[in-house]
Amino acid sequence: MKDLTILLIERLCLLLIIAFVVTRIPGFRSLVYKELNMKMILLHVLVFGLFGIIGTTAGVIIDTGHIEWRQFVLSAGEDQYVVSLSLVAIVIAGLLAGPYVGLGAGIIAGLHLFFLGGIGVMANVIVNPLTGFLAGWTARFFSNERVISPFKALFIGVFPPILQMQLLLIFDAQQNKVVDIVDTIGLPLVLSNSLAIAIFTAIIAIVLREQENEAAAATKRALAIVEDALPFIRKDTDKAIAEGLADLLYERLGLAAVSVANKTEILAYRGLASDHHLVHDSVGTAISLKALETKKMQIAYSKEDIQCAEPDCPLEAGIVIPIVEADEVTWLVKFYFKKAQHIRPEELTLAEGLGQLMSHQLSIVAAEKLTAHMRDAELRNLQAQINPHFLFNTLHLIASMFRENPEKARHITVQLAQFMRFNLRLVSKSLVDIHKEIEHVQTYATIIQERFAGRMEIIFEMSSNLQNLKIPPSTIQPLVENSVQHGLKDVFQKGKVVVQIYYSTNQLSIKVQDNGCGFKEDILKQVTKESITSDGGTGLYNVNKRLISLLGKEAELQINNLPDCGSEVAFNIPIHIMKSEVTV
Amino acid sequence: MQQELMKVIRKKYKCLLILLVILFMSYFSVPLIITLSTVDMLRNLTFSGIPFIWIYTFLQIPLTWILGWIYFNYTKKLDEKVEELLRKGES
Amino acid sequence: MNLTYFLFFICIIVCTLIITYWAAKRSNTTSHFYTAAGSLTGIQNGMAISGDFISAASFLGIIGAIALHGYDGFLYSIGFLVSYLIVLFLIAEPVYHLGKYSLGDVLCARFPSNKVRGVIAFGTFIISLLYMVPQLVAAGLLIRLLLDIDYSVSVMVIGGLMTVYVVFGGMIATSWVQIVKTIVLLSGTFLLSLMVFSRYGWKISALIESVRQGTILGDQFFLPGQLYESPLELFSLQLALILGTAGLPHILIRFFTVKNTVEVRRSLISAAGIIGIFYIMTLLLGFGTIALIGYDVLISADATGNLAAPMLAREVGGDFLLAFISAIAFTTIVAVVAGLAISATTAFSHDVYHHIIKKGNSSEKHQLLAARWSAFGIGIIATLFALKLENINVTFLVSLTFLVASASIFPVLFLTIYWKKFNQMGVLTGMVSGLGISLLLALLGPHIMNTDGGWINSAPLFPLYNPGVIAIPVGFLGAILGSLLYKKDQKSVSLYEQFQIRAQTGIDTGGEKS
Repeated sequence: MKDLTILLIERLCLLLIIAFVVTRIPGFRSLVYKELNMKMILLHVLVFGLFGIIGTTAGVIIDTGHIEWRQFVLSAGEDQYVVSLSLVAIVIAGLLAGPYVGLGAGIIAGLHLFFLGGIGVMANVIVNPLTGFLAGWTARFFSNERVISPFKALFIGVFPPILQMQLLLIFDAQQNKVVDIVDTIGLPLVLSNSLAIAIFTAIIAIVLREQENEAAAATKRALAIVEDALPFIRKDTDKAIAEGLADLLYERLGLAAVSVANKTEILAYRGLASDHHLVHDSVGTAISLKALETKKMQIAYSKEDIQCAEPDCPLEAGIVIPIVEADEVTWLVKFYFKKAQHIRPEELTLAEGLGQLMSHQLSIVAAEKLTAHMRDAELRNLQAQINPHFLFNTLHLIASMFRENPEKARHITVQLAQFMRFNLRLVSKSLVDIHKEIEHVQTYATIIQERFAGRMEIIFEMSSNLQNLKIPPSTIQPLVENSVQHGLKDVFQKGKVVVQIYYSTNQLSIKVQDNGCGFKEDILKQVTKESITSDGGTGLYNVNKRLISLLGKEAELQINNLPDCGSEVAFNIPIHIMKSEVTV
Repeated sequence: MQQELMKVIRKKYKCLLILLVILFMSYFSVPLIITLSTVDMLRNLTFSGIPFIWIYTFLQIPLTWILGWIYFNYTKKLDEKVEELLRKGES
Repeated sequence: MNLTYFLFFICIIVCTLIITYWAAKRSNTTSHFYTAAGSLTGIQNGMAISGDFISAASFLGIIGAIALHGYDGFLYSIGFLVSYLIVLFLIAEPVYHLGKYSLGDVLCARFPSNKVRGVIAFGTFIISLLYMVPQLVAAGLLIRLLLDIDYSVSVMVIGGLMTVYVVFGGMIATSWVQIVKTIVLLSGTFLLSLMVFSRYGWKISALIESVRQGTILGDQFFLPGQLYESPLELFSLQLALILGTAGLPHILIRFFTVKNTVEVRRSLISAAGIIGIFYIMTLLLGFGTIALIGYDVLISADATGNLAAPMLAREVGGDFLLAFISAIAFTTIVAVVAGLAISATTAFSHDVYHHIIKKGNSSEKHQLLAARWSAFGIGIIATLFALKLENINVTFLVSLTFLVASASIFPVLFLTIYWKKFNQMGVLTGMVSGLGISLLLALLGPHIMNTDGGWINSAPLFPLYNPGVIAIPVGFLGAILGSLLYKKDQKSVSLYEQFQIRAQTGIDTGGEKS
């Protein structure tokens, strides 16, 4: 009995090798995930049926109680019994692929046994399809795991040989030696079969788990990288994004080289062979173009694919990852490797994951930018609306002037037209030349001074080096308007508004002072934080909001009451912000 | 509502009573037959070679199944009636 | 020790432990622990009920009884089967509607009182223990015979396994062990009876002819009167059998494991189906045993006939099949004792600890802990009893269980559900008188009082082996008289209609409840 057990286990090891090969069949995964269509079922019936036939062939022949030490089972005599190992294959088919594949594979294995003949042929023929079907059914009944756990498989694997023995006893009960045969082979079969089935399910579980772990690790890495890449993605120039990304990827992935390109040219390059892979080279290799076109990751496994002009280039393989933003490739990231073998499945999974995550992130960033722009446009629209009171008052002023001073009336009319034109133009621009803005404020000042003739004076003080500076439009005028309307509301003599614009080495500072009543304490703190609608004071709030959203927190309004009387509203634009904003 | 539910329950009791009477009659008739009949009667009363008492006792098994099945189907109908009552009670 | 046997036993143990491990991860609420959170389907529960019910006494005992006594053995099994109709018709649905975890819940739905709960819990406890001990004893004897292990070791192995299942896996593990047992048992006996049949060329007449030659009874084998001499004895036994199941707590609490009434009925129908098929097969196997082995050989191996099935297996399939059938018998016992242990556990931890001691105020966590500890305690108590009572008459204890169940729990349950004037006092007097009279009559009966080697060496004061015909009416009478003499509690009478609606349909028509 011991000899037979060991012999059977040896034979089953052969089967396990074949089984291991089966796990490498491309369609194998679909089997495990139970996504079977008719074609796949037939295919698997055939594969496992064949596997079953091999199992039978690897079996042993029993000749009235003693074992025939034959290499393989190819035929059986009248009084010989075929100890088939096909059940292992059939049970696995049932466990993995369900009752129908089990049944089908069992029929094939059963037919083969039928043609072999020998004692107990009926039992052998019937037990295979029956077991396949029952194994599949049992797996569904007891377990909803993808791969049944080895322990459960061990337990389930005990029963097929028992069933086989019982069928043998049922169909060949008249022959006394059948009982001897059952006693000889029963236990060895149970032991070897259940072990083999358990080991096989363990192999499958391990293979799957490995794949999944790799995938999970790669995904985790990709996520971490994308998280770190977020600050770069938010940069506003392509160049900044590209360089940030290239640095990060090169550092984190330990690649031979990394390049980041937009649709047309390489914007950043890090790593080996930077002597001839230059920034600003145009994107033009076949695989890059293909990646652009298909929006799918491309892999270069040879030097030819990379199409490097330099014959000594150390880079021999690469992955091209297109990053898709709003259905259009906006970036091409290229990983370079020194050898094609360095591209492992992990790298591919990682690259693919990175591409998808970055695409996703970019879309989010784009969406964020879009909403910011929309908010900006909305604000500018608000700014463009001229205070109706101002308009009516001015028109009234013009009308009253016609008689006594037509020349002045004409002048004011021109000023008003200019003011309104500027206001309308505001809508379309996010930055204007500072002289234009000053002109705008002066226009306003002229009109106001005329209206409140004698009541107030608006003085401009500015440095002479203001050429080529740009600021957000209509940022100074509302400050002056605020001073006139609120600060000097109750001042009827010697009101004064001073507009100071100075450009020093590191910043442009703008200050509007008045000698009016100043801000009330409670308003002082709120005025930039929320729009105070009660006395029409949305001006400062809007300006502040626009300054922050266009230039950043550094440019926010600073509001103070002056020690004697009146108030001061000021903002500074650091020069580095202005420079980078110029391109927008 | 309560009255109507009680009506359904009384129906169920009636069905139960009939089924129980059949059950007890058939089940306790076995010892009764054994007690009342003599050994010779039992031996001679056969049905194609098998003693009658065997067949009669054996028939208790299918009878159990049939009675259970009848009850299962009857109560299913009663359940529907109760459901209906509940729905009416709600609306 | 034979290696084949040993491996089969190990295999069974490992399998059930896997189930327990799997269940332990899920048994983390009291609802999961006591009732598997109502997660079973009707068919599954039917299989579990069969697994709970078909004890070693049925599997080994009935095959042996049929082999030795012919017709009378068969009649025994019919009683077991028909009793399921009583459960289905009268008891199952009300129990499901009224109770949550235990029989105490059911009675307290009408008579909310700790006394009622306590007395029912006590009854449940006694019945479960009375049934558990003979099962453990039988298991110990069986394993000693098959594996040649010492009796105390084998009892401890089974008692330990039972405790592990219940403590860690609760109702989920118990249910699935029972389901697996039913599948294995049914397919095993089915295949075994096919083997017997095929020995006789699939001809029933050949089998019967061979039976005639095998038995010493000759033609008498096919006629009644071998086992039960007096008709009163027969009638008495049949009464206890048919009403007993409806009073077995471990069967009744199984109805809490499904989710609606239809599933309750379905579980009973499928249980009746499975049990019916099973008894047809035991009939065949009993015939096969006497035909293939013969009376003398059988009786010389074990006088009670309990080894009929294993011997038959060895005859038709050698040691291999014997090992398999023995493993099945082992599973059978393990599944039944686990079911009993959980019913005793529920009675103790839910009724006594949670409701009576803690007045319903213990936290979920404490209840679960209490349940696990009481399962542990019950496992130990039952094992200790079984170790001490090696020589007890197993069949006597099993029949005593049915007697106590049919004379105490069944009358009380029945009257609670169907009698308007029943009251709390009736529950108490019914339980006490039923329990008392059955134990007393059994004590005075010929099983114990026996001049021929009985525990009490004198002529029996009560002549019947099966005192059901006296005990059951006394149980009913006790309950009825109790409630008629003590009429103070009229509230439950006026609320009876509402209670009836709740019991039969599960609909709560308002009014106060406990």
